[in-house]
Amino acid sequence: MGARRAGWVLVLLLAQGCGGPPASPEAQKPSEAVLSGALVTQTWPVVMADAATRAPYEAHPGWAALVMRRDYPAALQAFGGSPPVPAGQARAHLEMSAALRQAAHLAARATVVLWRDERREEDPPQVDCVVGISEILLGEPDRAVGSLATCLAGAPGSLTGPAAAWSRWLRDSAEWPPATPLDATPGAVDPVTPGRLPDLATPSCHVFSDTVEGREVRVADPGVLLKLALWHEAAARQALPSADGAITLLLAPWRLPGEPSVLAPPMPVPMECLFGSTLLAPGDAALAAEGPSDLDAWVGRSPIAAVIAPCVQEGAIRVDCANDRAQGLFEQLLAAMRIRGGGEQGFHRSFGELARLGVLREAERIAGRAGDDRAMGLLRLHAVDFSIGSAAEPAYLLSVAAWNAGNKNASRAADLLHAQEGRIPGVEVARIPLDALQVRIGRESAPGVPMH
Amino acid sequence: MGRSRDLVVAVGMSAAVLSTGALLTYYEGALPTTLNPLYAAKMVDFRAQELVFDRLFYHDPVNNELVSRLVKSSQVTDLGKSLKIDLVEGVKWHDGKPLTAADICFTVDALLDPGTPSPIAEGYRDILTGCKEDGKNTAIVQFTRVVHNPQERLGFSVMPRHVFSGRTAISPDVEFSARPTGTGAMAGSRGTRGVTFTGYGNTHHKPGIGQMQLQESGDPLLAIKALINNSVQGIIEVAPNFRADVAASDELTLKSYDLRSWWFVAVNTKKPPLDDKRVRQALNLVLDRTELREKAIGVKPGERNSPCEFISGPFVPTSPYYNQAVLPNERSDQARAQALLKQAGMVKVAGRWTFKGQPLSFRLGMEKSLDNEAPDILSYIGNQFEGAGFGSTVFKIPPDKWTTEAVTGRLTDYDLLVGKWSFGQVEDVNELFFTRSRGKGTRNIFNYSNTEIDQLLAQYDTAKTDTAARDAYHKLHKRLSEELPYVFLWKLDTKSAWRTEVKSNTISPYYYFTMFDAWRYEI
Repeated sequence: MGARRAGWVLVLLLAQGCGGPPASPEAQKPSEAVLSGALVTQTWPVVMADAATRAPYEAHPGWAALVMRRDYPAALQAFGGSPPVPAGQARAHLEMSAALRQAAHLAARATVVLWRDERREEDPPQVDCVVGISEILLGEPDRAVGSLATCLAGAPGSLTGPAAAWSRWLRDSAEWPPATPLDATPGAVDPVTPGRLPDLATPSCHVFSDTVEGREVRVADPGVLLKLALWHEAAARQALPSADGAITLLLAPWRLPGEPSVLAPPMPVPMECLFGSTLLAPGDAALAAEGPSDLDAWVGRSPIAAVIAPCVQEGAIRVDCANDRAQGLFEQLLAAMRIRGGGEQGFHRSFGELARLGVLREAERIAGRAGDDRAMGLLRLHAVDFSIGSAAEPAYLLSVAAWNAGNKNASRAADLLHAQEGRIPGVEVARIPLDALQVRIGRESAPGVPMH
Repeated sequence: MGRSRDLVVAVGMSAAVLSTGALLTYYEGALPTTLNPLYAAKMVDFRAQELVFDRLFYHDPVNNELVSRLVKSSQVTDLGKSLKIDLVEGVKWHDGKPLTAADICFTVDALLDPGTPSPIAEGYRDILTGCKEDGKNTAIVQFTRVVHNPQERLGFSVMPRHVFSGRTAISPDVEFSARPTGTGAMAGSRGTRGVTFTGYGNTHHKPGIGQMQLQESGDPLLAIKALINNSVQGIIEVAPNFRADVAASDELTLKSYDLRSWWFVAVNTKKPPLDDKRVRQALNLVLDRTELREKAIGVKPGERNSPCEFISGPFVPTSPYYNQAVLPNERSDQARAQALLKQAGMVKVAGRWTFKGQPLSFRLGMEKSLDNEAPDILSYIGNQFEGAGFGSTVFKIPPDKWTTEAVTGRLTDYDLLVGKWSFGQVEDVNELFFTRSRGKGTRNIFNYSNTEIDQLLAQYDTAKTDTAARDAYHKLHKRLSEELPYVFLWKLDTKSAWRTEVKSNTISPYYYFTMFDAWRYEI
């Protein structure tokens, strides 16, 4: 390890134009660094290793709440102090919007698995309404037309209004955002105000009866979560109008499958939007948003692309290579931060962990785009293992929960969701279909007995 | 099954055994009680058995797909009441004999044989009626009723017919428990100091690790040091107190292990004065869980995203069966506890509670291996009872004794027993609280019996719909939080630690080693 670190030190010093002691032959091995010095110095962990650059962030409790704890309500409160920090507010709203989109994704996945794929005679007919809405969010409009038609052919109920609005929207325009259907969806009706949380004074579920015994069945409309997500997105844009394009860019990876993709042109991304995230430089944000087919074209501007590119052959990614190079980046950044900061500091490790996670998550996306579900899943499990402490980003973990729900791994999805409850007001709505899915899967599994 | 079988085993294994490569050693909190999958009682049993046997169907831990290494194809027949299974050809048992449909049917018959006193088999008796061979490689498994996704129900480990000479009444204490013959990635042999696993190449398994050893860990701090020093390469359950050390090491990786576990103090409801519900409720109020958790698990009050979360009933908080309306007690309430004890006729004399003139002292036990996860918890609980005016004597119970006596309801000389239950996808708690009789309540620690609770458990068992099942368990949760045959403590997440030289070590929910073939140890 020592020789490898010495190699990175050399790469970094050369990039910075610094002199230094003659490097040992070992230190000159270029293969030991995963990233060029020029790109290393662009990454926010290395930029923020400088005490003067970091000072404004360290001095404000909002950043600690946001970056170290992902405690969005606390961050919003702190950023709303005097003077307010609009960039901090925008960042908190942006991350909540991303997380709530993924909560909507989770609720929609659980809904279609439970009430469409694993439908049982006992299920109330009104579940067709939420199946249809879920299908829209999941990008299955053709199926949604049928589900909503079945829903609307049944007896009127509390979901008839939203279902009818979604049905009309599909027929008439299907333009995003779906303003009319969301107007018909209860919840979050107060005006968008940056720095605040939307009023959730709305029933989070609809209650119907099962067809066998007339017992109460709780049903949630995932549109409620989308509505909340769009409220936070609007709040982010209002808080920092100058970063409108960057907000579009940063939200792109978290859009629902049913949302149209928005290609944002290359643009500067404020440090306030990158600091404490898994995106190390503006190029990484663009990479995550665009999902390019040719990764090599990005290696000059995206540190993450540069780290991963050697692991990609003909579009396919080698999992072990990505894991090793993610670890390599972690170690390289630790060394670079030591140099920039004039010694090792406690936060270096946390920053490095975010960078390592950024590589794994992009590698996972590449595998997904290549249709290599196996590699994607393995990288995802690996990334979840590293998503602890300040690296536990709610939007990502909820996206993994949605994937698990789609795979009928309801208990793992429930664990991931539970960790976000209370942190992001509203996400608990997703628990309603997920709980029901857990019961169904558990009751149809091989027998099990408690073990000690 | 004596010397001749040993010879056969040796000859058979010589052809396929993979003994190359470095020895990989890992720590478990205790050694397995048995390697016979019909008699798994502890999670360590399940994990070890997962290496040695193949379950007929299992879930892929990455994408959760239901798959099989033994089944080539399957087809629902008999209007949904049977499943026709065609086996993969060429699979061999660890003694070299071929796997055939006879083995599948033998396993089903063993599960259904009343002479097989296995709690695991008991669960299958409700859904399976039998099995017919249709040639060498085809078996038809029959169900008691039409079931959705019948493959999901067939998660049992396949047993070798020839080793038992076709006798389907399988007892727990045969040699098979120590040196089983399976079709899994590893052949296993349990000794007094550990379990040795040897890779066995097969049509359906190509283990990347040739030699592995399971050892019992001792002091958790020493275990972590051994891992850091590379004396061992993995620890299955790392105490929360030491997880930060693991996470901070570049040579170790902390890995999630999906297991739904919750901790409890079982109360001997047959023993006065604990037979009085008010006394049990008082004990529930005496315990300061926040302090216990802080001392034993290292969770500071108010800490978010703690691996340890308080519970008020027999489910983890993420379970759909957890009744969110029943709140857990986080702090002690001595005043309410005292009032309840006085109502129950207890008298406090010189700071000590007395019952019928005698000072009240509890005999408090705990399975020894739990000390690895929550160091000194037994002493902390004892101290809290002492502080509240009860005497206490604490005992650490060896894992084998816990399995053979506590779980079977024979440790009735204890007043309180601290334990942990773990669950997979199925969170059926009926075995814990049903009145122990006629195959029910097989894990009812103090033989608790309550007609109303039995009715709720039966409602869950016979529920026609998901909502009926959920409603029954929500009611059960509420009633148990009042009845308190257990004082419920918390759920505790499980994390493993492995050295980074161990690669591709995907951990399966509950069973752990399902994907062991891909594991590699690179030094």
